[in-house]
Amino acid sequence: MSEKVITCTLNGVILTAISGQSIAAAMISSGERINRTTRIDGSFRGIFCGIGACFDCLVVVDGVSNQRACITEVRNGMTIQTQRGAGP
Amino acid sequence: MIRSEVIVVGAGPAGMNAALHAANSECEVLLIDNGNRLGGQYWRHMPKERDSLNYSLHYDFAKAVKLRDAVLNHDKITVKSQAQIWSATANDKGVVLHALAPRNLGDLPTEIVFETQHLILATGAYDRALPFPGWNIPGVMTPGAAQSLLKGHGVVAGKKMVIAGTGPFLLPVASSLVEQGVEVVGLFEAHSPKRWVRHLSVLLSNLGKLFEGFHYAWILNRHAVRMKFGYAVVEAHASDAGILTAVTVARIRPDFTILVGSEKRIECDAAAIGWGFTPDTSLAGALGLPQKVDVDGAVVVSVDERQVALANSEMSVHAAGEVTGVGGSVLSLHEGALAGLSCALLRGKITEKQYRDSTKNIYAARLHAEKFARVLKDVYVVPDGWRNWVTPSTLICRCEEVSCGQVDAAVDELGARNSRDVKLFSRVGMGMCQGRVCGRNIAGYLGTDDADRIRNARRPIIAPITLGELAQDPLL
Amino acid sequence: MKRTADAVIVGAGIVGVTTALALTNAGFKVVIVDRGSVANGTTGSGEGNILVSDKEPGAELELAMRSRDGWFELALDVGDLDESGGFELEAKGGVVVSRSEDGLLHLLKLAQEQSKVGIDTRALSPSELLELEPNISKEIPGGVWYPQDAQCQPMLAAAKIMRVFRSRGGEFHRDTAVRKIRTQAIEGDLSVTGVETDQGDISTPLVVNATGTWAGDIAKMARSSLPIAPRRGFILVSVPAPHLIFHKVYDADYVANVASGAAELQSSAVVEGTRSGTILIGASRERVGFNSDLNVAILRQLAAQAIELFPILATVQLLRAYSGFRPFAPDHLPVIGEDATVKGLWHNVGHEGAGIGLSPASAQLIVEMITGQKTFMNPSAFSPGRFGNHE
Repeated sequence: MSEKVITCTLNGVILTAISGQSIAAAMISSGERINRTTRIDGSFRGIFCGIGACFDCLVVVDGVSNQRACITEVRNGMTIQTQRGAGP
Repeated sequence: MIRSEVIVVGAGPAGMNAALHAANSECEVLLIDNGNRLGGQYWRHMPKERDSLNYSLHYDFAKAVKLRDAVLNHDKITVKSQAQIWSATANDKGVVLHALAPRNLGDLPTEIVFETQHLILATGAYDRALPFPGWNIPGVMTPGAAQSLLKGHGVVAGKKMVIAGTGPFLLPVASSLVEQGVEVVGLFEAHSPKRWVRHLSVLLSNLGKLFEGFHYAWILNRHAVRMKFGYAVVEAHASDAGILTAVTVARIRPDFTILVGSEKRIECDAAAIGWGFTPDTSLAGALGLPQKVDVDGAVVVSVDERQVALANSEMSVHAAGEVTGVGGSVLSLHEGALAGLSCALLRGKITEKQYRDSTKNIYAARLHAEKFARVLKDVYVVPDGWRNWVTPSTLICRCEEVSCGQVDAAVDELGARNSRDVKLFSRVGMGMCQGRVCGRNIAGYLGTDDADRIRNARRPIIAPITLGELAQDPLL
Repeated sequence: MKRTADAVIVGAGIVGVTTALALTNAGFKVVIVDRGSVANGTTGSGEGNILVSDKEPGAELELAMRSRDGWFELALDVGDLDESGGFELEAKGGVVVSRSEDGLLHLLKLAQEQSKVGIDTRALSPSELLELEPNISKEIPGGVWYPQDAQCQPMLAAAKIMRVFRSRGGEFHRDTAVRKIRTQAIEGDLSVTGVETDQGDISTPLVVNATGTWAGDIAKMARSSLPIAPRRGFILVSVPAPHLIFHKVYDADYVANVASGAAELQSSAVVEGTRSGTILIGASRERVGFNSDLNVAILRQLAAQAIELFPILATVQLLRAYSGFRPFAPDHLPVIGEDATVKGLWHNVGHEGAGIGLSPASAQLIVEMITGQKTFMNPSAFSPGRFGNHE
């Protein structure tokens, strides 16, 4: 198995990544730091603990909200959206 | 339902070594981990085809590869990766673990129930973060996050970074980032190196650690990065677009209070700030294992000298590695070995004499590593002075967006005294992380006792599961 | 600690604090003692139900109707101009549904009887039901809408009421465990003279036992007895979700489960959204003592029943689950009144799963009895003497 390029979309825009990378890593390397807006005051959040403990990097994956970007691997054709509040 | 003679949860140094030692003594071992690859957080790495990068990013990757391959190639060890345990129960006959896991590679996760009479818990730890104004701005993260992006995914967290906090972990994080071309515009250790003076003998008896430190210092020096001591990041600033543009650092006293007037602003696009580690005791709490508060204030699993947390004539639960107290990979490896061998003894796979013979050296090595771990906890202690970095509007609970002022109101107006009161009155710790990030800080903010800290670390639902998945009984 | 008081309330749950405030308002010098803190017992595990829909006509419904209004009066009293009392009081309304035609007929009959005693009920066709709850299962043949059903955040309510109680001169001693109720024969009657606690003694002629599930222990300290036992319930809490559920929605089976005295597990779906975005799912009932171990089988059953009502919940994540212990009396009715054998020992306990809802009226009733006023309803159904001697 060699490195494969994965193509998915982030908020409708093409996002490429390397197979095995997390959504959070793919977003950071594309320059996107904002994963979601918060429920109460609508402020921005990005990756924080990076290992699935803090639940701050939540995104909407294929329509399902509350997915931790830091521990979810990118897959071909995946639709990723920044999450607004409780989602989607 | 999957049964195994021994189940190990967590495939970091402790878990892998526990699995290997139990399997080498003829136990059938199932190693469950929520990651994609063995190694845990410490040896987080990219797929094999990127091994050259893996080697350059880790100080001791050869050791990881040796252990990883021994585990993967062992015919007595079955590895179940990407399995997220969401609930667990223990009774006097054994342990039942409920996990969401793909049945086969590429499948979507479904619930799988695991059962064993002998469990080894090696669930590790995650970075401890302290609140300060702006710590919720995208771009502020833990050193572990920066490290996992790099080691696990080959991605640098920023172009211009500040690394700060306390503890030896800041060094490998800073050096691997500079090696990957990141401009480290500030490296700040909160404590003075003079704190080592009292412990020079311990330092000199751990030359390996000292050399590892020199190795990082040499890399940093090569990139002209100098660590500054006695400073902390006390505020972060966002651009109009809401992302990090700068941090304020300040001189702090040994009790972590700020020296007013020493503040300095540093432009950066990412900041990795960490204050040691918090053991992940979620599973331990769900199983009702005995827990205590360690000298660093962390809730840990309480074990005996054989790493046993709970046992009777029919079952046992062992714990090893950071979950029994933060101590680093070397200590974790020893604890894992002891837990694995103790399981083999309880299963009757080795005799008491064989156990004693094969553990004699490990006991000595563990003692040595424990001594070093205790010194680290003393040198890199986190006193409560951080409480004067926060303002009433600073969030203390990131999930539920509860500010320090709201916690103050729960205390002053509603009479809250402990973590539970504050939680019920202000929703602090009630969000999706279930207090993993804020729990320890809330207890520190309120100054509560050990019993409160242990009670507040309980979270019987370990990971979110959809109600649809929950409603499907996998045993029916 | 005060050495004397007009009344000592044991228990700082919702019943204790409402009783304490009502007695203070009546001019008593009141001390509350609790072995823990505010809302540490069943109150802290409750959903904050203030329901008239789940009771058949009778004494308890009469109490519930008065209590529902009592909550809104209380909110104005303690809430500093905030109509929600600062504890999220809200007349969100209840929607009771049945999954079968038979069950629906039964439910409509109950609603008819309830409306005769003054409950606002409206039968719902399937389309009206969908209008109120757009995400409800289309399989459901109908239901009844109870606009008077309300909800509050019970821990906050208890804490705010406690705050007002103290501002009016009341005293609260947390971490204070009662060791003994002192009694003495006065004019031939065994009468209360004080309480002994691990923090000191208080002389008082009046003790109100408001210890809910633990009420039997207090009764025993005065050498009396009360047959109150724990009835465990689990609640599932979802992650914060978008607004999916708009009222308190429950299966009509719930009414039958509440009324049953069986020890074995019973459960029926009770689903509601909260202000914080989480969705709460109940309700199970079983008598297993004070065992709080998580029971995955019950969680599965609750999840499945909730999804039957709201299929959309299948995709919502469970965040937490916890249990609480309802104070259960053999006939399911609260115990409100003076002890049958000990003068000056009053009980305000045994509200089972309705303690939050029933507390203002229970407090009013017991204070009316204590002060010898005309009571707003006949309290005899709640008499502590009704169980006979259980020693």
